[in-house]
Amino acid sequence: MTAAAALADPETLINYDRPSAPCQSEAPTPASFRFFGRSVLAFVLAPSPPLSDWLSSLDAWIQRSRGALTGRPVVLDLTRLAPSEAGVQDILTTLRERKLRIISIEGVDRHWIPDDLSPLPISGRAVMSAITGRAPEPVAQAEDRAAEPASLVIDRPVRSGEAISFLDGDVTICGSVSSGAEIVAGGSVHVYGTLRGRVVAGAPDNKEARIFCRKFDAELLGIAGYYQIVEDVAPTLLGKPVAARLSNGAFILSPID
Amino acid sequence: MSQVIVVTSGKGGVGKTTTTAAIGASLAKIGKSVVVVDFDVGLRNLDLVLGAERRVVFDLINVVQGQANLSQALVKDKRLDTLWLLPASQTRDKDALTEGGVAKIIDELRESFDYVLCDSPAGIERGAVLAMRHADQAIIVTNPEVSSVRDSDRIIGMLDARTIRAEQGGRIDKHLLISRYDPARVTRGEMLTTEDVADILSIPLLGIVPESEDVLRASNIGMPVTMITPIGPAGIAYETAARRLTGEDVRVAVPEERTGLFDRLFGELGFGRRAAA
Repeated sequence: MTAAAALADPETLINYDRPSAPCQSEAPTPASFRFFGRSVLAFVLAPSPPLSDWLSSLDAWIQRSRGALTGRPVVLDLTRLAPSEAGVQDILTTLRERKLRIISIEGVDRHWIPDDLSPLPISGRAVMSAITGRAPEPVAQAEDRAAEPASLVIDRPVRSGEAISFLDGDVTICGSVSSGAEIVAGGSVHVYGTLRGRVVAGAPDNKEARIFCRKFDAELLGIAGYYQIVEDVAPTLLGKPVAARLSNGAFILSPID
Repeated sequence: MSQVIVVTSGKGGVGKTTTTAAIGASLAKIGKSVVVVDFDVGLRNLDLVLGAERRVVFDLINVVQGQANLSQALVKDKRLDTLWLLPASQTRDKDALTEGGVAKIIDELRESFDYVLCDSPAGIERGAVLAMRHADQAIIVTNPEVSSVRDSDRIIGMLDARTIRAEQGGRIDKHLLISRYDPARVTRGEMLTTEDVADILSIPLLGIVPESEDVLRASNIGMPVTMITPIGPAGIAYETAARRLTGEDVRVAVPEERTGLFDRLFGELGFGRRAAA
């Protein structure tokens, strides 16, 4: 789950009780408050036709690995089965009889998904195939990731309504970030233009991340789950080059000379 | 080479239809063949501004659905020989427009006209996307106030993502047209300055149209504001914008506060137009 998704998640904890820590800009700033993002590992079951064959192999597997799926969140991928609306209900009932905890369904018309299931998880990464129990090769993957450059450079302005999410590292914008635009980065964010939108750096939990901009007029700043509303920032910083960092849960905004 | 230009804004009521009619008429006046296409299905207005509402027989939707061919639906302007209108339907909704139908119409229009001006509906939904889809250039109409500027910014982002040119890896030329500009209110700090708007949107400026009584007066008599005589400040601004659009190197004039002798005298005594406004 990205930090942006965490912002919209109604179940996300909001801790209002943090003691107020002063921001080192000229006027004292009220406390930042913290949102928590959370990633959850879910098993994905992808039934294939004919359903009866698939169910009997599932039953055999459950028999062998008793309790392996009990109480674990399961996402149902019905792409291959392509059932009708009534079929979706039948499959759900059948699987629930086997004490499987289905949290969401993929691969069917979203309107067919019962209201008590969560909305579609968007493009979660496949981690392992639950039925065969075969794990991916984590070592190779780690090497791949280390080889990737952990930065994203955008050579144009980021417009209102655009959301850029790059959790692997720093984001550099050669242009302005408009009011109503949003940048979410795993590392630091650099804006070589006017920052008018929302920026979240260090998502989800990198407290060392910073935000830099050539001209400061942001709507919202966030670092590692701490958020700073810009109405509370000293007005003397507006329009100036500004750097923002986090110190003991408080935002420190300072002009860049 | 034919140019398809979408006139768009995101926000409603900023002057898209006025701009389409005014620039279309200006281009026709300098001898270009122009068709203005009303994409605002269900809320058509371009026919009124052009004074052609009583001559509309078939419309865009009829052509899309094959009930009429293009030549039957095109309405020729009574005053300018090279200005044509393709009206929208007032009785249908935007769902009646199809991607393929619009593509076919635009391709046909490209063959017969120098300029195809598409008057976009407000909003960022289907209708607005279909209007911008085939554009080579865009005129973004913005009023100097924050909500209009933010909506325009959103539309510029969409022009860079949802047009055919953008999807094929190209870019479309974007022009900023600031309308309803009131120099007195800018001086008083009640309106964004031209610099503010141009800085936020960071696209080249095509023109600044001052707030003017001419615009409403012209619409009410079914004339584009560039056709009325004597032509007023808004009309002149649109004519300049149209010439810039054709590639002519004309300076963008920033409208100034009108301070005649009487204004200045009475203004200082507190009776002036500014004090009364």
